[in-house]
Amino acid sequence: MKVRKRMHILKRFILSLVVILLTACASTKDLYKDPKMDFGSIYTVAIMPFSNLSKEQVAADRVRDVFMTTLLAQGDVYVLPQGEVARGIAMVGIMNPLAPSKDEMIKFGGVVKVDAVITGVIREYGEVRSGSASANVISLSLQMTEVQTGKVVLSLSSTHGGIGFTDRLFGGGGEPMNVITEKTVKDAVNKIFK
Amino acid sequence: MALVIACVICGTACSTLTRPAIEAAPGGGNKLRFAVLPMVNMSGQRAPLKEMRQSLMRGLVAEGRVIFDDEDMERFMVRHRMRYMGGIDIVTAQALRKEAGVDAVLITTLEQYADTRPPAIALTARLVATGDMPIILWMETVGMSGEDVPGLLGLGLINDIARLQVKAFARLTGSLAKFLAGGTGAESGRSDRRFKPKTFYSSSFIRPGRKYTIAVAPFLNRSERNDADDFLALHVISQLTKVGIFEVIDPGAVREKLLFFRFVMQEGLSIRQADLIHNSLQADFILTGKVMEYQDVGGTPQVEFNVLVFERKNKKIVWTSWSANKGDDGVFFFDRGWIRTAAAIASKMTQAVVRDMAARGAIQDGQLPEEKSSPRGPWQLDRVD
Repeated sequence: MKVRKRMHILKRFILSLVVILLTACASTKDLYKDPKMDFGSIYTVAIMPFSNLSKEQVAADRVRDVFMTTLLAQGDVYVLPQGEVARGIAMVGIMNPLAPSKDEMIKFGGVVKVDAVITGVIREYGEVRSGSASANVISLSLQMTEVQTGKVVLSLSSTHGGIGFTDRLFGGGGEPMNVITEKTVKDAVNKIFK
Repeated sequence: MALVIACVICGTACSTLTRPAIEAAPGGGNKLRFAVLPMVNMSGQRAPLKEMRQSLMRGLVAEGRVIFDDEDMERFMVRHRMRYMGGIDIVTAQALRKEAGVDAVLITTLEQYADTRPPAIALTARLVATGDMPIILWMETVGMSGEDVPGLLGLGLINDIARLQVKAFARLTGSLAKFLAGGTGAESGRSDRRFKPKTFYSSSFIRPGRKYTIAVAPFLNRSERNDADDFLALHVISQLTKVGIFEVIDPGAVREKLLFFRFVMQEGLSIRQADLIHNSLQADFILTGKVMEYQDVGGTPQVEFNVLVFERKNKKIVWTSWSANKGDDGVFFFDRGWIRTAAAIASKMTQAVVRDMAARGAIQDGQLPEEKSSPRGPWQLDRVD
């Protein structure tokens, strides 16, 4: 009887341990890629103006520029110049270029002759404070829409910076904004071509 | 009839080929007759512009240069209703050559003038050839602060703006004299690693030994500093003239075309607009960009910008880069290497961009540029709007 009870406790313990270990293995998913999409067929992309949810006024423009250069530097796709994107937006008459509708994207793709359109949101950009510690942070999310069907084929987010252990311990303000912008954008581009 | 047509064709060809840059050989620089345009003040501060211009002209006369008479220049400006002094358009360049017999025009821009302790001054001067196409022959930018070289116990500090001004003008006139004495104005050497672009894309677009014509379209200004777009464009132009590959068309001529075509560039140049500028100015490339940050007053100076180059042949981007730096980047001990003016940082950053562009854009032996650099897909086709 005693042995049976002990075995029962042991079983419970092992089960809890397995549950804990499985939880530790879980990862936060910040990338969606349409498994049916052939990303090799995307040759030219247009980057729409990014939506800015941060306090910094030029954050969206800044990150869009860096993203455009980094994406071009990757060498796999050609990125339409921003002036050409603006011309396309005006020609199609997109009401809200930050979040165009499916039909607008399809029409836009036909006018400027691109294979995909990238929209983005800057969720956070600038300095964050917690008590006496401060550091720079950037968080952005991107979506790629294929213009023939108007379907979202890729969605990702990337965050860098923020107050870490060393910032709390020693201060210093974290990494410069330019450095973490570069890191975040490179991370996002790497995720696209992963 | 055939003879007449042939003459007309030849005449047209000659008018495009006889570039003033070719006519005005650097060796014959001492015989050049040039006009000095009134200084343009973009510093946002009051500055003794007339005195500065007179001082510059005195310096040039003392070196034996032939300067177009000031009163005659004023009469010419009234006759041609010249209001814009920041550049020279094609019509004015032709009139200056034909009517006034002026070979080149010296255009000076004041970027920063801080009569404080320590003072700071930043100037840009360029010599533009008159004639059929206003090509920049020589250009120099100078950015100085009174505490650039503090020296031992602060003995090297300059607290008087007049002294700094003399020093800045001496550097400008010295560089001009060197060019007129037979120099090419080209500079070589390695750019400071600290100021290299953070991210860039380059395709192979420069054939070795060939010279290209480039037009610099206005930059977009997203910074809080007024006229930062103009400063940065001037810094880029200055570096383009020094790299020895490009013949740079004066921004005044580009401005004239933009006004003529009534372009509104809220987000930058579109391909159609770039095409029109390419064709009207016979430029091989158009360079444009965006200034995100240009902080030259208070605190550590900071500059951030991106540059974009369009190619005429393929109607595509051949270079794009993003640069961001602060005056204290890479400074660890005793403020050594600290740069105190935004103009000096911008100069170093643009130098790094242009030199990188010239080096990485060069077509290597055996490289097929079309295959290497062309984007895939429909972009290769001529677009019909």
